[in-house]
Order: sequence, then C-alpha cells, then structure tokens
Amino acid sequence: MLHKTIVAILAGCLLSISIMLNLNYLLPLNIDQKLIIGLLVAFPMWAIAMVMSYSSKSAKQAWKRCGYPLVVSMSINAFYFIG
Amino acid sequence: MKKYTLTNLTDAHGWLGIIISSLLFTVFFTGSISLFRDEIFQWSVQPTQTIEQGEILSVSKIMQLAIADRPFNAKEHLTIIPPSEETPYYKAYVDLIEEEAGREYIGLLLDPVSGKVVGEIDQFILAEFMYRLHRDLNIPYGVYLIGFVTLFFFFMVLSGILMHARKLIANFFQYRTDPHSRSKLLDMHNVIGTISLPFTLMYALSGLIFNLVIIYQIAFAIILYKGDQEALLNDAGVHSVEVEWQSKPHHYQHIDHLIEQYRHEFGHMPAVVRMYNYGDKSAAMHLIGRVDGMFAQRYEVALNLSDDSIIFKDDAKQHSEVRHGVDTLSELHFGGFAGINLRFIYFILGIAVCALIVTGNMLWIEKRQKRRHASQRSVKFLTHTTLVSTLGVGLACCVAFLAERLLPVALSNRADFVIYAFVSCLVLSAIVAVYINKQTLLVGSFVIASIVLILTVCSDWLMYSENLQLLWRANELTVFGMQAGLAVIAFLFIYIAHKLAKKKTKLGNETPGELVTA
Repeated sequence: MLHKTIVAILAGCLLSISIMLNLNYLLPLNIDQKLIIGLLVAFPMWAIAMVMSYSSKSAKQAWKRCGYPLVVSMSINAFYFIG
Repeated sequence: MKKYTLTNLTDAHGWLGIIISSLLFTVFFTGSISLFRDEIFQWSVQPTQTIEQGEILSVSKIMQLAIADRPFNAKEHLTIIPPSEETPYYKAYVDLIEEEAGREYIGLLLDPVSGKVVGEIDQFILAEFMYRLHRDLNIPYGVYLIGFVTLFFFFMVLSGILMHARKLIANFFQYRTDPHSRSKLLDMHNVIGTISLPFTLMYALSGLIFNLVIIYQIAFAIILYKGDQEALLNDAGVHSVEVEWQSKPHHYQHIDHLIEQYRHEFGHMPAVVRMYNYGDKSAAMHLIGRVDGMFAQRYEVALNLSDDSIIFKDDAKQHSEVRHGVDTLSELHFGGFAGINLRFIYFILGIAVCALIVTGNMLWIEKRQKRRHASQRSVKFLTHTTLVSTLGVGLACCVAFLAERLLPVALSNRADFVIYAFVSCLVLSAIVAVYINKQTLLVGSFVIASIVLILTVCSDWLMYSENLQLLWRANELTVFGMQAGLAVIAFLFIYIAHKLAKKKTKLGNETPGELVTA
C-alpha cells in the first residue's frame, strides 16, 4: 500500500502538471482561461491517477499504468518547450 | 472491471479512509459549523456590547478613530470592513510600528454609530477558531496537510463511485432493515454517499484548489513563466498596489465620496476598503466588493488619491477568469449565494458526510473484527480513535461555545483560553475513552454535550439579559437564532442519548460490535 501511495502521489502530481502544461500549449484561449481550465482539470487528473495506481496489483503495475501516459504527456511538453 | 481491480480499490478505500477519517471528520464537522461563522461571531459579540441606534459614521471617520492614539505604521496598510447584514460593526485592521507596539497589527471592532472601540476582533475567537480548524487545523502548514487529506478524500469519492457503480441506480434507495447491522451500515454509507455525491465532489475539488494550488503555481512559475512569479499572478488576476512613500503629510477629504461613487456604480458597498500610505500625499485606496446581480462577480478598484487615477480595475467587463473561477468555487464552497436556507442545506449535507465517515469506519472495524488473523489491539485502537475523533471533537466544540460565553470579555488572552478549553476537552475525552465502557461513553458524550449547550444558552440570559432585551427591541435577531439553533441541537442530542440508552439495555457484554450496532 505504501509503494502504491508513493506512485499515486508522485506520478499523479507529475502527470497532472504535465497535462496542465499541455492544455496550456494546446488550447486556443486567453492565458487566464487556460490557467483556470488547467486548474480544474489538474486535480481530477491527479485523483484519477491515484485510482489507477491503487487499483493495480502491485507498485510495479502502478508505475506502468501511470508511467505510460506520463511519458507521452512529457514528450509533448518537451516538444513544445524546446520548439 | 476486473475482479482484482475492484478488490484493490475496496482495500485502498478502506485503509485510506480509516487513516484520514479523524482529520476528515474534523474538517467536515467544523466546516459545517463555520457555515454560520458570521452568525457565531455576532452571537459572541452582540450580547456583550449593544450597538447604539442612529446614523452610521462614514468610513473616513472610522479610519481616523481607528488610528487615534495608536502607533500606526502609515507606510503599511489600514483596512476597514464596513458594517453589513452579516456583521453590524465596523472592523478595522491597523498595521502598527512593531518596535513601539510589540506586534504587527491590531484588529478593532468599532460601534458603527458612536465609533467607540467595542473590543479587539481576536478577543472573540470562536468563529474564527472553528474556521481555522476547518481550513488548517490551526497548526503551521496545516493548509497543506488538509490539502493532502482532501486529495485522498477525492480519491475516496472516485473509488466509491467505481465500487458502487453497478448498483448506483438500482440500489439508490435501498435501506435494509434486517437485523444484520452490516447491511444497515453499508446501506447507510452508500445512500449518504450517493445523495451527497455532487456536494462531496464540489467540496473535494474546491478544497484542493484552495489548499494545494501552490503546487501548480510553482510548476507554472518555473516552467511557463521562467521564474517570473509576478507575471503569473498578474495573469491570474492577483494585483498588488505599489505606491512610493513621499513623506508629505496630506489629509484627503474625498475618500467617502469615492467610496459612494463605486457603491453606486456596482450596486454594493465595498466589503473591504484598504488604504496604502494613509496620511501621506502618495496615499492609495483599494476597494473590493460584490457586483450587484452577478453570481460570484467581485469588483476590485485601486486608485491614487492624489489625482484619482486608477491603478487597476477588475469588474464584470474586465477581469481575469482565474480570479472569477476561484471566486465562483469559493461561493459554491461556502454556500454564500442563496441566503441562510442554502447554508442550512449545506449544514445538513456536511453533517451527513460526517455520518458517512463514521459509518465507513464502523464497517471497516466490523470487517476487521471478523478476520481471524486481524490484531484485536488494532481494532480496539481504531474504535478508540473513531470515538475520540468524532464524539471528542463534537464535545470539544460545545465546550468551546460555553467558554466563549463564560470567559469575561476583558480577560487578557481570552482567545487562548477558548482554544485551551477545546484542546483540554479533546484530550480529556481521549483519556476517559480508554477507561469507560464504549456504550456509556456514547450515551454520556451526547448527554454532556446537550447539557453544555443548554448551559451556554442559559449563560447568555444570566449574564447579558439586559443587552439581549435591547437587541430584541432593536429587531436584531441573529443572536436569538443562534440560541434557538443551539437549543435544538441540545434537544436532538438528548433524543439520541435516550435512543442509545435504550439500546444499551438490550445489549449484553461490551464488544466493539456494540459500537457498530449503536
């Protein structure tokens, strides 16, 4: 349970930040609108990541479940950040 | 959904629930009380001081009275909160020269008609203390602790939906009355959880945004804004007033005129009037208030008093969506958009969530008890923790109400004594719970709580009957509403104690299962 909790908090936090940043890059809106939408989406994303993590068989599976979307999302982050 | 997924979720739901339950109960219980924060504050203050009848003094006059004979630090702020329906007094926060005053600021309550200082705001701590318990447990970094508790609560709500999804509609009204307590408890837990779902989701999300927004703020400031926090705050609609001190004493005469102008423009008196460099030529004024006829729309105007030039202005036409969104969530969170009736509904839902937490704990304890290899010590410990964190917190709140009423207004460090009363009662109930039979503790706690509440109402009349009569004649009914509320809760507690006592006689020897049945 402890390992899953670490995944849930850490991966959930990173995933939500990453998705929030992507929304900020992708949405064709004003900056204040993007910020509030990002904020409203970020916490549910974190909670969903927690659900994914805690419903896993093991911490390893939890890392896999949260890690794949995190890698994809962070790749998009990197693309926009470098570009 | 795969079977192991559901099993893992159920396990996590139970374990995390039991871990956060004490703090979550405190947050919801004190939050429900805090819905009536203004009323509690009025109840604390009004019987001790009557308000004079007549014309209300202007804001500029109150500013002068608030700083008179005080080491006011003009380079800092002077904040005035004008009287409203919620608070009949002027509130003034005066920043002081710390070397002379020995503290940073003083909060004053002023009679709106005579301008007399009624007392210090911090003397009447009860309402604020309840709110702080809800927000940050009144401890350093409590905001973040509660933030993470809220995050786990959000997970609990989502996992609860998934666990109950297949039966969400079919079993919506199911409440089995068979003698198996587990079915009853489970039904109670599910029904309350389903009914309060929109409410709990809203509370979880808004609570997270209030308490943990700092995480995203830091991430955005570093990545998107390259460390420029000012730019981020500016985009988020958080403005600051920067005015340079000129050392040229000046007394502006048109402060009230400007306030009246903006009251007329937006349809509401500013809720906050903050002065910068008050008494200097460089003085600036910052007004914050509600826009009439709009849901959760605030106006904010800051202007230089020397030439009335606007530093910034936020209103219905020109505002940051972040600010507007957070204001909307705040309005939803505190139920401030539809009068006292809505707050009563919020109160009932808040207490229902408390019941949800307690039934959840009972289900977990019962399940654990039935497991052959489960440690009975852990079951005992959790039963004890559940009792203390629910009954103990409830009883401590009642005692804090009594302390707020009984302690003399002139007592120095009065606020500290109210907090000591709360903490002492909580510690005492934790100790007593170890030695007393759980059933007796349950019944006894409800009886004591009801006695404390009745004593509180009686003390009101014994100590301040003259002022209460004056308030009644002046048609100021908030205090009486509070007394009625306390009395109703006291009688409800007596009724619950009576019901529990009846059950107690039916039960045999004490087992932790008694708690579940009760």
